[in-house]
This record gives sequence, C-alpha cells and structure tokens, in this order.
Amino acid sequence: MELKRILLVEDSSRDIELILAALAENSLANEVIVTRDGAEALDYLYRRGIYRLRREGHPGVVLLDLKLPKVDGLEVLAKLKSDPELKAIPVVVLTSSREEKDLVNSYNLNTNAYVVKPVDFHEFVEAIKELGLFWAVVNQPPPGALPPVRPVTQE
Amino acid sequence: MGLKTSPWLKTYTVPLICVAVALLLTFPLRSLLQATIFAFFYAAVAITAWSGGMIAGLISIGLATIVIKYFFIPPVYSLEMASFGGIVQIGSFILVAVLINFLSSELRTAKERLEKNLHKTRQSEERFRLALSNPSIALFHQDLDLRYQWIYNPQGLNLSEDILGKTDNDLFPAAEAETLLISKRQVIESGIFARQEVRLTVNGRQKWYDLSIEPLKQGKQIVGIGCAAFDITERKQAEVALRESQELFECFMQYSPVTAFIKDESGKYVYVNPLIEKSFGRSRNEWLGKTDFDFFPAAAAQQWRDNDLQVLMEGEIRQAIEIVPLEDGEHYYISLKFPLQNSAGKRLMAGMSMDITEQKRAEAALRESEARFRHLADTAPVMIWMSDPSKLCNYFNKAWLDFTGRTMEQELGNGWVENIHAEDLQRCLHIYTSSFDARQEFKIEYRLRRFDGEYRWVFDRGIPRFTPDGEFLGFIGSCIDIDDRKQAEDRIRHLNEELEFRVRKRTEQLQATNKELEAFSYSVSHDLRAPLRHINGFVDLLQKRVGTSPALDQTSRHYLKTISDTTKEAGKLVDDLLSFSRMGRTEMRLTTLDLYQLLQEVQRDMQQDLNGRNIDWQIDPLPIVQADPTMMRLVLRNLVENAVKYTRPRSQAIIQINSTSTEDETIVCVRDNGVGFDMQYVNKLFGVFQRLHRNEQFEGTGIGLANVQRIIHRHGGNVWVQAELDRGAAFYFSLPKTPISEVRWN
Repeated sequence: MELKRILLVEDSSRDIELILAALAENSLANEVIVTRDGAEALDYLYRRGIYRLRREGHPGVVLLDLKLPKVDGLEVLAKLKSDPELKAIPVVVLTSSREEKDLVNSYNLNTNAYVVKPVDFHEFVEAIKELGLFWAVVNQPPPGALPPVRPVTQE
Repeated sequence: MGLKTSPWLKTYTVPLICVAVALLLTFPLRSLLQATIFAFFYAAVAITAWSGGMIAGLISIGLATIVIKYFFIPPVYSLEMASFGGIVQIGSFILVAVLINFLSSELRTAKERLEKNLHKTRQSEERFRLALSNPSIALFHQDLDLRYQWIYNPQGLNLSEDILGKTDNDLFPAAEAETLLISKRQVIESGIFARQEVRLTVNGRQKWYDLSIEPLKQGKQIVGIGCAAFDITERKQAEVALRESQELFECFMQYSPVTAFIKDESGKYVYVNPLIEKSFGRSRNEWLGKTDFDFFPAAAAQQWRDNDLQVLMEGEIRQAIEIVPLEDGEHYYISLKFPLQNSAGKRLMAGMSMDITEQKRAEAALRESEARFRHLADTAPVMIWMSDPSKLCNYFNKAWLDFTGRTMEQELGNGWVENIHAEDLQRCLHIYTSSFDARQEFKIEYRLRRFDGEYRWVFDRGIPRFTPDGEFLGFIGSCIDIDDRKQAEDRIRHLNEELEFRVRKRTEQLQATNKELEAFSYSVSHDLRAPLRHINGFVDLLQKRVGTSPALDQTSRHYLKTISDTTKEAGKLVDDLLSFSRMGRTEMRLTTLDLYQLLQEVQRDMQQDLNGRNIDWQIDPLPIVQADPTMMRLVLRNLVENAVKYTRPRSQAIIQINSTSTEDETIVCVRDNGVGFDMQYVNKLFGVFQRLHRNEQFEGTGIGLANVQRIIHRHGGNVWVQAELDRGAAFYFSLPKTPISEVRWN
C-alpha cells in the first residue's frame, strides 16, 4: 500500500495539531500539506502564489473545513468540482457543523464524503484514522495524482 | 147501346111493323089521301126538327098545317074546315109530322150527347197521358204465368218487345226476381191488392221501386196482374243519407265533450246529447218537451232563458258564461248559443256548453295567488322588480318606490336606469343584458339613488323566470340596501390592510431575528464545539503523555479526568441544544407513518441501554399518522428513554404504550411506574435545560422533553403529563388527523 498526499484545509491551528496528532498515531501524518484558508488551498491546487513552483500533480484527497477565512470551504468545493481538471480529486468535508444546510449544500456540490468532527478525542482520533486510511491508502486516486510518498503497511 | 142484345129487332122488325101500320092506315083512307102533296112538308118538319130541335119542329108543324089548309084543302084560300076528308087529311099530316119531329129531335139529342161524351173522353185521356208521362212510373200487365203482356214506360230497360213474353227471372238477378215472383203469386192466389218497396238492379244500377200489384179480372176470373212501379230511388237514397247523417250526428254527440241541446221558441227541449243525460242524470225522454224551469231553480232557468231569447231575437250567435247548480255546487259553463231552423221552418235555439268550473277555480286561485304575491312583495323589506322577456321592467314593489321616491310610471320600462349611479351604470347594464340573454342568474352591487338624493350601495340578485313548460318570462330581482355593510366592509378591509402591514412588519422583524438566530446557531455549532473538542483533545494528549510518568499525583489525574468529562458533557449539551434548535428550523416532511413500527425501531436502537434491566413492555397497537419520520422518531425515543431512565430504581419496571382516538385527533400515551415527580413542577418539565432531578441521580441535559413539545407543537398537536411523586408518570401527545399547515416558529 502507498500513502497518498493529503491536502488539509483548516484555519484552526488547534484542529491542525489534533488532526496531525491523530494521523501521526496511525503513521499517516508525513505527507500532509496544510493550507490555512480557501484561497491558499486553491493556490496550492492551481500551483499559484507561494505554490507556484511546486511539483505537478494533485493530492490523493482533500480534507476540507467549511468555515474558513477569505474563501470558505463551500466555495473551494464548488470551484474544485466545476473544474474538469480538478473535479476527479476526492474531497472529504471535515467540519464541526452538523447543520443539515451544510450537509445538503456540500453534497449538492459533489463532495465525496462529509465527516463531523466528534467532540470526544477518542472518537475524533478514530474518525481521522479511518478517514486517512481509506482515502490516503485504500482508495485509488484518479490519474494525475502526485506520486506516493512511501509505501505503508497497515497495522 | 142498351139494344145490344137484340140488334136485329131494330134492323128488321121495326121497319116491318112501321110499314104495316102505314099500309093499314093508308088503305081505308086511300080515297082521302093524296099523300104526295105533303111530301115536302114532311121534309120541312124533319129538317127543322134536326136542326132546331123539338120546339122548332112543333112550330114548323103548326105553320105547315095552316099553309096546307089554306092552299090545298078545300075550300081553298080559306081556313074553314068544310069536309071530313079534309079533317082526316090534316089530322094524318099532323100525326105523321109530330112523329117525324119526335124522331128527329131525339136523334139530335143523342148525337149531341155522343159528341159531349166523346169530348170528355178525350180530355180524360189527355189527363191520363200527362199523368203517365212521368218517367218514374212504369205500368205493366202480366199473365197468370207472370209473363209480361204489356208495359208502359219500361224504365230504361230494353224495348218493350224484348220484355214482353218474359218473366222476372229473365230480367233480374235471381234473388230480386224471387222476391218479385213471391209477391205477385200471392196476389194472383189471393186476389188481393198488394203494395211494397222493392230494390231492383236495372241496367246495372240499384233502384228502389214502390210496387203496386193488382189482380186483373175478367168477370170473376183472375187472368193476370196489373202493376204500377214508381221509382223511389232518390227518396230512398235521401232516406239513407239522412239516416247516415243522423247516425253520424248521434255518434258524434255520443263522445262530445261538451253538452249540446236544442230548444224550441218556447224553451222546450227538442234535443239533448248524451252528456247532458249523464251530467244531470236524466234520460233524453225526461228532457224532451220540458223547459229548464221544470228542472232547475227559477233564477238559473231564467238566466238561461234570457240568453236563449236574446239569441232568438237577434238571430245571432251568442257566447255566455252560465252558472249551473249541480249536486256538488255551482258549476260554470261557457255556452255557445245560436239560432236554428228546422225543415218545417220552425225557429229553434241550439247551444253547446262546456264545464269550465276547474278553469274558473284555477283562475280564481291564480288571481288569489297573484294578489298574495303583490301583498307579499309590497310588504317585504326588500326591493323587488320584475321584467318581461323584452328586458323592460314591468313591476316594482312598494319598497323600491319608497326607496327611490319615484312613481311606478317613472320606473317602468327603462325608467329605473335613471336611479343608477353613473359610474356603475355601464357595468350594471352589461351584467343585466348579458345575464338576461343567457337567462342566467346574476348578482350585482351598485349605487342606487335614494329619495333624498343619496346614493346607497345595494345588492341586487336577478333570477330568470320560467313557466312550468319552460317558457321564459323575464327576470325577477330583489335588492337590499348594503350601504352600511359596505362601509363596514370598507372599514374591515382597511383594518385588515393595516393588520397585514403590521404582520408583514412583524414577520420581517421575526425573519431578521431568525436569521440572527440561525447565524448564532451556526456559529455555536462550529465555534462552541471547536474549543470543547480542543480541550478534550489536548487533555487526552496530556493524559497519554503523563500516563506512565509518576510526576502526576492522583489529584492531578482526577482533575484531568474531570476536565475531560466536563468537556464531553458540554459537547453533549451543545449537540442537544443544536438539535433542539434544528427541530425548530428544519422543514417538516409529513408522510404516512406507522407509529408501532417506529416504536419497534426505537426499541431496537436502545437495546444496549436495556441490558440488565427487567422491563415489562405493555404495548398496544398504535395508529398510523401523518408526521415527519425523523421528528417522530425523536419524540418516541425521548419518551421511551425517559420511561426507561426513570424506572431504573424499580426492580420490575412497567412501561405501557397505547393510544386512543377522537374524531379529529390521535392521542398516544407512554406510562411508566418510575419515580414520577411532583405535579407542582410540571410547568418546568418541558422547558429547555429544565430538570427535576440532579444529574448524579439521572443524567440528562434537560433538552429531551423540550424537543418533544417543540416537535408535537409543530405537528399541530399537544403534549401533557400526569405524574405523582414516586408513582410514575404518563406522558401524552396528540396528533391531529388532518395535518395542519406548519406552525414554524413557535
């Protein structure tokens, strides 16, 4: 099995820390690219701004928070899924919101999954683990994805 | 002619006797007689007597005697009688001359009589001929064998030569001939005259004859019959025609629906038809020859008699309504009477009458009904109008006239139009004419000018009128003054508009508030959960980090655990609060829902919580309702969870779930035998975060029942509870059978 690159879009540093901790617990943290708002995430995907010089290729999965500064998660999702180049990239909405409105909107914009961050840390870790394992390891990304970081072995 | 028996006596005997007497006389007197001397005188006497009669003869004899004496008997030229011879001569002359005179005058008389008789016979013959010249009469003789011997006027039959010698059998069809022969033979046998009417086929035509048959006798011997046949065909035909006409008339009268009668000038009935017999229960014979005065009260009879007399006097047809007293009361008859003359020239009065009592009564009823309608219409508090099929108004009731202050004449036709407000007139006329043409009911509101000049709103409803046969009669309409109502309506409309404006304002405010609330909840959802999650996460990481290190004492570990538990509780609180908020906001999706099935699913979900519990579930069948499945699941789950939770101290928990139903709602009850509560705190029960038990006793956030109430209220139902401390609680909720439109913000 190979670990694909994970693009994490999250403004909260605490959440980033916890997510990375959760991923690290399962040896999934190495190739996580963290962007702090929607604009930065789009820059990464389109290789603009500070990511102008990055290697070609797409992440294996995007973990997307909805409540983001500048360009919010739904905007990112809409942009991504309407671009023929990018729409094949799997997107998992990872949010605190249980709002039906957000759920409906996300799926209308063709998100591949929607995960609510549990308050309980154990549950949180469990959720992140399953998420990381499935999307970064089990799932075969579409052609054009960045090459895998390194082979992983499941526990 | 009396000498018919001895003609030879006269011819032979009288000359002999006369010559012998002359010889006897002449012989003794031959010396005295110079017979030849008087010869011319004898001739003179004979001629005189032949031409002048007896008296002339006698005069001639006298003159001749004087002349003979004077000139030829001596003494000549004297009238003196001197000799016996002269006397004898004179005497014999006178005797002979008187004889000649007598014979001559007798001869003359006989001749005259003969001539007279002859004349009479000729006259009689002429008369007879004239009489028989009528072609209708046929005379004939037949012999004993009944063969025709003689016929006069053979009635267009073949020439008499072809008839003579033949019998009736040769001339007529067998049946007719037989009838004739029988009658004729009877006459021959009996010798008695007979007369009868017979029908014969003559030249192919049916003819009737009046036949007289007389025996022909010679001496006492019957030698045949003499017949006279008189053609009576026309009379017969007239008789038949008359009879047929009579029968036709009788038949006609038999079924006549009107009574018919004929009276003479004195009022006596000459004819009554069967309907009269029937109507009055008297036979024709009782009527005939009687007058009305014989049957009816004098007043009635006089009434009719007056009419009859008028007809007779004026000689014209007359129609009259007559009252006839019958057993069941007075009847009205319409009578048509007219003068008539019978064949004898007698003046008669004929009449036909029809019982029109029913019509009369119907008319009276109609008049009464009409009067009642007028009365009703005029006393009604509504204004009433009527129009004819040509759209023109022909009636307005008193209320209308009082309202407009105008007269009927002013309003009739199209006059009413003048009262309509100018702005309403076009609309009014359009609705009126189009409804009229379509013959459809209409309703209009328009302004009508009152007597004081003020225009008042009226409501006018027009309905087409039809006869029972469906003939269109026009419209009838009724109007009421709705001005006050109209003004009230205006006020109400104004108030409504104002109210609506306020509601709109309030709604806008509410919507703004809702937006804020939504934003708030959204914010809470993200921002309140995040720090809790973070605390929890880092505490957990910390615990792991120090887990094996002896650096942390027991108390520190307890603190860390408390921090962790508290954040979890806070997280649950936030989640419950969000769910409560969501229950108020998310859209309801009503579907047909089997509550029993839903309850079973809820029980399955709770299976884990029921481990180690001894619960007696008493569940009755539950109804099918119209509700949102997610929400109802939450309701049932909350109620059942509560029941399970608060029966925890019971070794034997009993949870009963059942339902009742009224006409318009379904009521579900969840009852437990748990710890219950004091009803004085019942008002806190359904409030958010309101709890009646300490958390250490029974965990919970105080959101569950608030959610139940919110959901049931949104469904248009109610929630209530009955409980007693330590004796259990019963939670009820009701759902309307007809789902109400959602009450969203409660």
